[in-house]
Amino acid sequence: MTAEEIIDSGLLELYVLGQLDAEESNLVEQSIAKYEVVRAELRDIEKALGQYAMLHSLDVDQSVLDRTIDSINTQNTDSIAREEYHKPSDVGISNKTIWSWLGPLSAIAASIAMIVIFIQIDRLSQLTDDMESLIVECEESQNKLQTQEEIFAGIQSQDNRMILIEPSEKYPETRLIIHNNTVQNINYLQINNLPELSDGLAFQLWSLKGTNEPIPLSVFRRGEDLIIPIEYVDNTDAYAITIEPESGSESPNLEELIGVFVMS
Amino acid sequence: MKGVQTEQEIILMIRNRNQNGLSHFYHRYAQPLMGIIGRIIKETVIAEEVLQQTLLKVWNKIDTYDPNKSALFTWSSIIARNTALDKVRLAGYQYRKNQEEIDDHHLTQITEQASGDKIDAHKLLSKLDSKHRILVEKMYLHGYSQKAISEEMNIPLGTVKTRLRSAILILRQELKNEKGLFLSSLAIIGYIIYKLVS
Repeated sequence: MTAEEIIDSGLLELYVLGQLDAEESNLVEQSIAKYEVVRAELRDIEKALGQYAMLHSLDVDQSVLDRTIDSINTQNTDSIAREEYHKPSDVGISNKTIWSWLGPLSAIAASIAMIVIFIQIDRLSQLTDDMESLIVECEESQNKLQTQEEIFAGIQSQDNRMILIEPSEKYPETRLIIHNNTVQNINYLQINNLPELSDGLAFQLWSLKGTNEPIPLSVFRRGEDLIIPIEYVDNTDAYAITIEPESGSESPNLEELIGVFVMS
Repeated sequence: MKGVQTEQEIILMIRNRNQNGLSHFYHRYAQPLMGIIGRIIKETVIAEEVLQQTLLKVWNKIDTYDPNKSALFTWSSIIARNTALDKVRLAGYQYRKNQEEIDDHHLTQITEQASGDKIDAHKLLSKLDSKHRILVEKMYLHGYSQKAISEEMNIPLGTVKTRLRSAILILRQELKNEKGLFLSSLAIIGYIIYKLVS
């Protein structure tokens, strides 16, 4: 419909009176949106009927407004109350949510507990290992102390004698002492000065008896201890020390002779 | 409460749930809305109850109101009329006012109250002949449908539309004349004052 047709149809008047069906109202609203002239006509009709209504106004008691405001406030309170009332369902939802979260939360809590337990077990195991190693260390220290005490007792013994090394020409700075106890059949080597060793090499002790082949004895490297026990070979004429491969040799490398302890 | 608010300000206040907006709305439109409701429902207490319901509907449904489609009063007058008609239907027509009860008593009073508008209600309405006047009253103030008017007045539906349009055109013309007369009066008074001063 054109703007003119809409205006002449009388639909605008009925629209203002609210007496059009949905389809007709739609048609009018489309025309209002589309035609400025229809909008203007509608405004004029509204103004005229509005004025007509003003002329037919009736007195209203102020209490109507007060009651309306009260209703709105009650409505708001009711609404709040309803919200509060519905909170149980909200709480239900919350509960539902809580319940739905409870499983995963429990799983997480259990996982955390497992991790804590695992950590504690691991820590306990570590502490046990530490304790065991400390016990071993303690036993070692005790043994060492015992050895040191034995060495000390042996050295202090009246049966003990000290034999100084006769260093070779190659290692003249060597200072070693053998504490020899023929009553107890024990030997201790006191290390004061030894040459530096290359990697893969060690010192080896030899027992020399007459014209027999040297008897290979213990292999050692210089450690923290200043006095170490060494083998005792009865009736040894002399002990010798050479530098050999760290696995030891069957016959001494005389090129690397450190020195000789003459026992007789 | 702040002074006179524009219609847009009132709408905005109500939309923002500001109860002052409803107070402004009430002071501007409650009486004409009561004019519509009070002509459909005879019991004042019930009519006031319907007005209260109308105000509540305006408050609660303001977000559905589109200013591009109609003026605020048009929208609320439709709500008032429909609420009153619903009340009548629910109460089995016991509240329905008879057409014959319409008189000029209220009209006279309100015209005096509305004198600020400088519109002479009697003069304005006197321009409408009885067939137009009754039709506007029945449809606008009493909420009669076109069909009901057609049946009661025994005229075709098309004639109802034509008469309604004619009646509103007369009202529009007379309102323009009244305003023109008012503005002319103001201009003449201004001119006289100007002449006196100079």
